Amino acid sequence: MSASVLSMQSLRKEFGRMVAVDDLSIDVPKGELVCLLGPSGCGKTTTLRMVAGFIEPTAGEIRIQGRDITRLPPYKRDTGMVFQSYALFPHLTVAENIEFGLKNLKVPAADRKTRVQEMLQMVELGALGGRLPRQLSGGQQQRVALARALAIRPAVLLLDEPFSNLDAQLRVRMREELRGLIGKLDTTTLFVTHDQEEALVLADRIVVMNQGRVEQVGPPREIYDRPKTRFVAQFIGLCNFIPATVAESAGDALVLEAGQGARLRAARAASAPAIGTKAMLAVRPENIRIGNPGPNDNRVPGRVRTVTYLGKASHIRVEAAGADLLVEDHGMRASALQPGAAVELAIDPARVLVLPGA
Amino acid sequence: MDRFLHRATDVGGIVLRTAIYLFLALPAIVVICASINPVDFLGFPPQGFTLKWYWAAFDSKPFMDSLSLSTQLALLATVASLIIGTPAAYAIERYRFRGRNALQAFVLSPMIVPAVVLGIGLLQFLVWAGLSQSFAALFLGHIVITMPYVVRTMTASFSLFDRALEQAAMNLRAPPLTVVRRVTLPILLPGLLSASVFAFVTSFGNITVSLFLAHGGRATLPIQIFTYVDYGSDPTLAAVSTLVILVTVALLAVVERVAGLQKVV
Repeated sequence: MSASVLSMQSLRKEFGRMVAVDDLSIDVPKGELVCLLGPSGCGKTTTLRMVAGFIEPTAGEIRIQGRDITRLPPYKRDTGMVFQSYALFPHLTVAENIEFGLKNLKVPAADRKTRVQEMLQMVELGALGGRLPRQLSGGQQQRVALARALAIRPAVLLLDEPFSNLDAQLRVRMREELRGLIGKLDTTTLFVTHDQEEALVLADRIVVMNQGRVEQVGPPREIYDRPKTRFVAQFIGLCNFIPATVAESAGDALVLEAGQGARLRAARAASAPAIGTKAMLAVRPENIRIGNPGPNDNRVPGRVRTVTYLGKASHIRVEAAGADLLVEDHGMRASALQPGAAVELAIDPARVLVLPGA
Repeated sequence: MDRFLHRATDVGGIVLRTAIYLFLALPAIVVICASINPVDFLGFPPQGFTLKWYWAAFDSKPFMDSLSLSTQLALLATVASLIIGTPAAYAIERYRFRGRNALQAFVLSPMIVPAVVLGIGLLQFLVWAGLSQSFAALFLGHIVITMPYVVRTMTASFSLFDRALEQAAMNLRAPPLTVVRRVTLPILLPGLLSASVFAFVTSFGNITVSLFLAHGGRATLPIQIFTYVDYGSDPTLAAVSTLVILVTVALLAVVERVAGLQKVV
C-alpha cells in the first residue's frame, strides 16, 4: 500500500529466547488513529518503540511515507512521540521544551517563536510558556508533551500510554481533547494503551495484541461486536462464554447444543464450524434480557444465583445453558429478583457469536 | 502541665542544638579570631583587630608554595577522579554485571579504610613502583581518596536521570552529540559540580595520605600548617587556616546553591 503513511511489514522482535513481537503487519493511512491494545507484555510498547527507533527489529520492515526507516536512528525518523512519563526536559521552560525539536530542525528563530506560540495556544497553555515543567500539573505537563511532539509536525505521532498518569476524570477530559486535536490536525497516529475504553473512544482502528501476536484488527465497533477470538471478547468489555456443540445448520443460522439441554441459534459467521464440532458461544451481558423475549429470540431457562446492584444497572448471575452467565439489566426488574428464582433469558441470535474451540 | 512540658522540651531542644552547633563551629571560630588578633601569639579572645597576619601569610614563601601545590594537586586529582569515576558510576548504575557489587565496594573502600593504613599501603606500593617522593605519587594517592566521592555522587546522579529524556531528545531530531550537550550534561551538571567540589575539598584538606607521599621537601598546605605549629605559635598560621576555611565554605556554598547538599551527602 503506497498510500499508507506508516507501514509495518512482518515485524518481529526477539529478546533472547523470548519473542516480544511476532509477524506484525499494519498499514496506517494518512490521518488515521490506530490503537495498539493489549495487556502488559503483549508487545504493543515494543512495537511503538521500534517505530520510534529505540528498539531495532529482529526482522521485518518499517516505512514512513514510503521511505524504509527500519535501520535509521531515532533522530532521522519523521515521528513525534509522547512518552508515558512525558519526559519533559526539567531544565528547560515549557516554551524551550516545545522549541527543542524546532532548533534541531534548524527552523529560523522568528518562525520558531511563532510556532511555539501557536502550539501553546493550541493546547491552551498560552500564559505558561515561561514556567518549568515541575511547576505544572499532570494534565498541563501532558499537554506540553503533546505540543512538543506536534511542534515538529511529524508524519507519525506516537503516543505511549499518555493518560496513565492522570486521574480518572482528567483522563476522560484529556482524551476528548486529544481526539479533537488530532482530528483537526489530521495527524497519522499510533497509540498504545492497555485501557480498552480509551481504545474504543479514540481509535479509528484497533489492533488487539496478545503475547506478541495480532489477535484482531478492526474499527472499535467491530472489535466489540464481532470479536474473532475468545481473547478479544474477554479483553474488551465483559463477555459470557458457553461451551456448545454445533447441532445443525438452519438457513442463515446455526443451531448449537449447550449444557442443561439448551439449544441456541446463532447467526452464521463467515467461517462457520462443521456440524458436530465443538464451539464456544460468546454473549455480552447487555445482550441477555431477563424475560420479555422477542419473536426471534433464543429462550433459555435459568436460575438466579446472585443480584448485584450497581446504580445505573444491576448485574445478575444466572445459571443457564450449563454456564454461569452474567446478565446486565438496566430496568427495574432486577430489584424484584431473588436468588433461586426461576427465570427465562432472552437472547437475540444475531448477538450470539460462535468462536472456534471449546 | 502538658503544655508546660511541651514548652520545656521545645526550649531545651533549642538550647541543645545551639550548643552542639557552637561546639562544632568552635574550632573555626577560635582560628578566625586568632587570625585577626594583633598579639604575637595564637590567642583567644582577640584583643583588637588587624589584618597584618594575612599580609604575613601572603609574604611567606613556604605558605604560598604549599598553597599553590595543594591547589594544583586538588585540581588535578579532581579532574582525574571525574574522568575515571564518572564512567565507573555510569557502569555501576546502568548495568548489571558480575562483580558489580565488588567493584562498587572497592571504589568506595578508601572512605572506610583508615587513612593511615591507606597512606602506608600507598607509600609501600609507590616505593616499589619507583614513584615515591614525586608529584606523581601525591597525585595518584589523591585520586584514590577523592574517587569515592565522585563515584558516590555520580551514581546518585545517574540513578535519578530518566533515560526517557535522552530518547525524547533523539525523537525531537537531536543527534547524539546534541543530546549530550543540551540534555544529558545540563541535567547531570549539578551532580558533576558537587562531585568536583567534594573531591577538591577532600584532596585540599587531606593530611594523612599526603604526609606519607610528600615529595622533595615540598609540602602540601595542610602539612605545612602542621609542621609550622612545631616552630612556634605565629598567628600567620591562623590567617592561612582561615583562608582554607573560607575557600572550603565558599565551594560548599556553591554546591548548596546548585544542587542542595542534602541530596549529595
